[in-house]
Amino acid sequence: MSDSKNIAVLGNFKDPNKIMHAANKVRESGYTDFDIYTPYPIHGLDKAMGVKRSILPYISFAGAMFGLSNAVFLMWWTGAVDYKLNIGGKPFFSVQFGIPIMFELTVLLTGLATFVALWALCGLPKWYSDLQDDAGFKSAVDDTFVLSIFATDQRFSLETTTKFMNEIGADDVRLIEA
Amino acid sequence: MSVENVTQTGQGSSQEHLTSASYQNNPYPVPDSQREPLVLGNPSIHDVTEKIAGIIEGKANAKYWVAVLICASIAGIGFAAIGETVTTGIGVWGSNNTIGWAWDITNFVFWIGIGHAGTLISAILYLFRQKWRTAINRSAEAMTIFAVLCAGIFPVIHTGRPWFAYWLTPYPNQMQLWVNFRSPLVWDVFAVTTYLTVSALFWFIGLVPDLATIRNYVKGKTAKSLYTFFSFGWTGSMRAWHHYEIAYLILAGLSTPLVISVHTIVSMDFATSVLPGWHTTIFPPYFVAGAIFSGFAMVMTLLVIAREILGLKDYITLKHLENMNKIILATGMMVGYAYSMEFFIAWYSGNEYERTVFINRAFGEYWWAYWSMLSCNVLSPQIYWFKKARRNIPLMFVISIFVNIGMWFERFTIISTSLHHDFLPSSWSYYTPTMVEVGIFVGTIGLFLTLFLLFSKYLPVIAISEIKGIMPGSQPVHHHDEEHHH
Amino acid sequence: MKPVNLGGTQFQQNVNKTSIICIGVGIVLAIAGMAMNQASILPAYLVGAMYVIGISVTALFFSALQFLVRAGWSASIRRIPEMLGWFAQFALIILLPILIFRNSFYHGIENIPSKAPYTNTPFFIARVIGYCLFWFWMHRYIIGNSIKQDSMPGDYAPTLKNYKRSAPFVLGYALTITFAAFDLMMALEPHWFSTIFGLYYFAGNFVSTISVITLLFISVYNSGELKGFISKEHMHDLGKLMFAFTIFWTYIHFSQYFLIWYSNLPEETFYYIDRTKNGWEILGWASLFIHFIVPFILLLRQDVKRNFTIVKAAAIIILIAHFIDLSWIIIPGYREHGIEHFDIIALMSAGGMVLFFMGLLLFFTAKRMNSISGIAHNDPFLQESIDLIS
Repeated sequence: MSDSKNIAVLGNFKDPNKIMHAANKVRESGYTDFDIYTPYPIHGLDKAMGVKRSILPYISFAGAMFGLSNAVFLMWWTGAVDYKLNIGGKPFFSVQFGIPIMFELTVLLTGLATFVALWALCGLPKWYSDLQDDAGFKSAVDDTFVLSIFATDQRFSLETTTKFMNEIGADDVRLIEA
Repeated sequence: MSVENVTQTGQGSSQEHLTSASYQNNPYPVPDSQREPLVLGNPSIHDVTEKIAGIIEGKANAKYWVAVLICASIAGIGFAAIGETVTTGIGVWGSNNTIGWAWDITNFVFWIGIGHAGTLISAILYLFRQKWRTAINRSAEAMTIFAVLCAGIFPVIHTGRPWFAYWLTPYPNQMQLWVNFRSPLVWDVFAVTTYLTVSALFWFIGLVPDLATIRNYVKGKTAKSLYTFFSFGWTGSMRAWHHYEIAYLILAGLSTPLVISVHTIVSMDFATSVLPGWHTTIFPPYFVAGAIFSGFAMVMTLLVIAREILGLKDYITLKHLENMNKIILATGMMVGYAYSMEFFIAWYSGNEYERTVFINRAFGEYWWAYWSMLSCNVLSPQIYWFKKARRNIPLMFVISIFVNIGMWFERFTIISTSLHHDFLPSSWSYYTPTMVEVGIFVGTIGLFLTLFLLFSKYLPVIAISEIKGIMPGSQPVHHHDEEHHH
Repeated sequence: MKPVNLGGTQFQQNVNKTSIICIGVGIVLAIAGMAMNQASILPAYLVGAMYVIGISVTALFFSALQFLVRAGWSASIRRIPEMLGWFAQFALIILLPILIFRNSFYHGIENIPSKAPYTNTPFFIARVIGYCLFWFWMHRYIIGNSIKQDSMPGDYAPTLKNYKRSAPFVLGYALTITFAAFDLMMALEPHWFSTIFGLYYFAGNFVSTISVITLLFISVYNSGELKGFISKEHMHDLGKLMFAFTIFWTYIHFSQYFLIWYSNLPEETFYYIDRTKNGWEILGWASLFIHFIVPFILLLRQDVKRNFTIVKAAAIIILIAHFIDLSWIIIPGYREHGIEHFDIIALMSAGGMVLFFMGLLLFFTAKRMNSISGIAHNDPFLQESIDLIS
């Protein structure tokens, strides 16, 4: 116990129903610092884990507003303020001809905001994980559901958490140390 | 999918979703042919990984490299022709004063149109919960990006001095000039760059979990580090999936109006003018329908080959191909509707210029382009009224080629017939392409195919995580059933 | 599964009650408006007729479309549009006054020699009768087969027949609704033309039909008659369709308006000039606002599509917007025939006619509940629809 530190207790699942059941149990017993690694999103698992609804849509919306206001400002200022040019008798600025670019810039900025916010919220890119050498964890992007309760959780204790994991049906319950 | 019904705690809506006991077992099973499985051969979740990642890990045979070489050489011809154009000037093209837009813009619209199916499949079919899209969305999205890249070449070289292409963007400069935001051509710049950017982001987001799967699968050191880098360290954390699914939904919701806007704006290059044959109000939806039509045809052309070569027949099944053929038939009817509306209204308007242009379109010097368009786009898909035809692979390959040709001719017809006879008979003219133009166009086909070949070898051609998520037994059964009956 | 008889239920009574109110209020408004301004009789009648025919015929299309795309989600709600579509059979009766008094309804369309081969009265009458016969036929075959399935458990012949027939009928629907829009609305401006006009009429019809279906859905859901068959999931899907197709309508209208605005050609731009002056611009702004902005904001979020109050409000707003939109197309067409300026009286007459006709539509829908099952109980996809999760 000199230089090794407990990181997490891991358990494998293969059945989507069992991992759903387990997620509910973990949440109900008060654990908060845990995660489940799955090869594809499982419908409702996030809710069973008690994950709070993502704030991503608000960031996307902010991006949309930023794009829209920029488009309006850009067209109005360049066309009707900075350099007025009469082209085909068309107005220097009007909402009508502005709509295409207003739309495009709104979409562009929403897309970029969503992209950046997604990775920021996921904490990615991050090319290192404490769990990365575990064989079960590696197969989480293949066909295994891996439940991980982290040692940083207040309720974590090696014995009870391991026992708990076995009770909720995890296979191959193991401790990861660093 | 709503998440509410699957939680055991039933936060509100599990009582809402009533399923009374007597209706639990459907006494009349669905007729076999109506709901075919999406993946054949009943593979396990691990088998999917093996299959798709196996393509990447396996060694490509000589035939593959020969194909890449041939396509790359054709692309090379294109680049040589572009070099000739740029160094000598666009006088090497057949365009003239009367027909200033010819092959270049035809090809631009052609490629942009092809680029629409990918986003349609990934976004619109996603929003409509068409699960069959999962087998084909990845490759269709890849095609979108490659097609838009090919499309972008044409307007840039058409400017004559492509090294000044940045003049198309609004930036503060010494001349204190801004781009003309009243011009549809500037809208094009914004639309196409936005489309390319957002499609690429959407594609990349979709790729990340699959790249993580491949990262853990491949053995080679370089390959591993590359896939590791581009998978961003994705772990499959459900907390990340939660954000991911919302982001995916937002981007799908965003891409749907975007894809429609792009071809709408392309159509406005023509329709905002006052030229008979160009200025007509149905152009925006008509172009969008045509784009979907041509895009699906190109997806069909490539997938028929790819599923054969890559051994993906259990994933890209006849059902998928049949569904795409139905969409080809439907969109073919839509463009047919638009052709007839244009013709009818040209007559109905009583406007002699409109009438002349349309008569000239069908019976003038470019009659062959018009009738090629009509027979390829409207007549040839009619065979898909028959289920047998929709499931006949050689036939669908041929029809998809016809549609590709027909949609090229559609753009050529629109552009050339409206231009070559303008209001002043003394300036009437005729256009024939030069070898340089043919070279550029053929070159873009080579470029497109090269990129697609490279993609099909080095990236997962099927969205692994998505297809896993729709396989039977991959999702939990709804707990509300258990609650009610136990 | 067993048929569900909606006859005599609370739901039927509710629909009946609503229909009586609509008819009563509609008659009062229409008669008052027409008495105050006689010039408003024709436009008001036309608005009402186009409104109700559009919705009832599009209800047939909605049902045919479900067969065409092999939709599973809608099997348990499909009877709502199928009952609405019953009224489409009476299209010819509604259009009869227009056929008889064509010259009063449409001024000058016959006097343009270059268009005469198409616009002459005999051909016009033949065409309109043709559309109505087609709709009659569409109801008979598509809805007829759907009902036939009710009495044939386990034998899917009628449904399979509909799979085959739906495609040609959808095609026929597209053509009839397009040319009906040309003949009955575009003809108000004899010199004006727009290739997108048919699509424009369709877009407004489709979103309005979905709104009517949604309102009936909410009513039957609340009365509990179809408990076990329908759930909030169906409303979620209807809400999504409403959202998508208000945007679609906006897109189509924008395409027409924008291209005409930008090119500014005298032969077509007068259409919008006449509709954006003399007070008519109020209708344009109103239609932009309540046909697009308000429903868009109301329905944007996922979770609100499960909120009865909001979905109901959006559906009602869209139906009002469709009325405003049709009024904007039709009433200014009479600017040289008694209604020079924006006229609230004319709008009132038109609103009265819309209410009256919609009341009739609901009345016949309620009546239809006595004769057919409220659920397509032998549909092969019914279980899939019951189990729907959206």
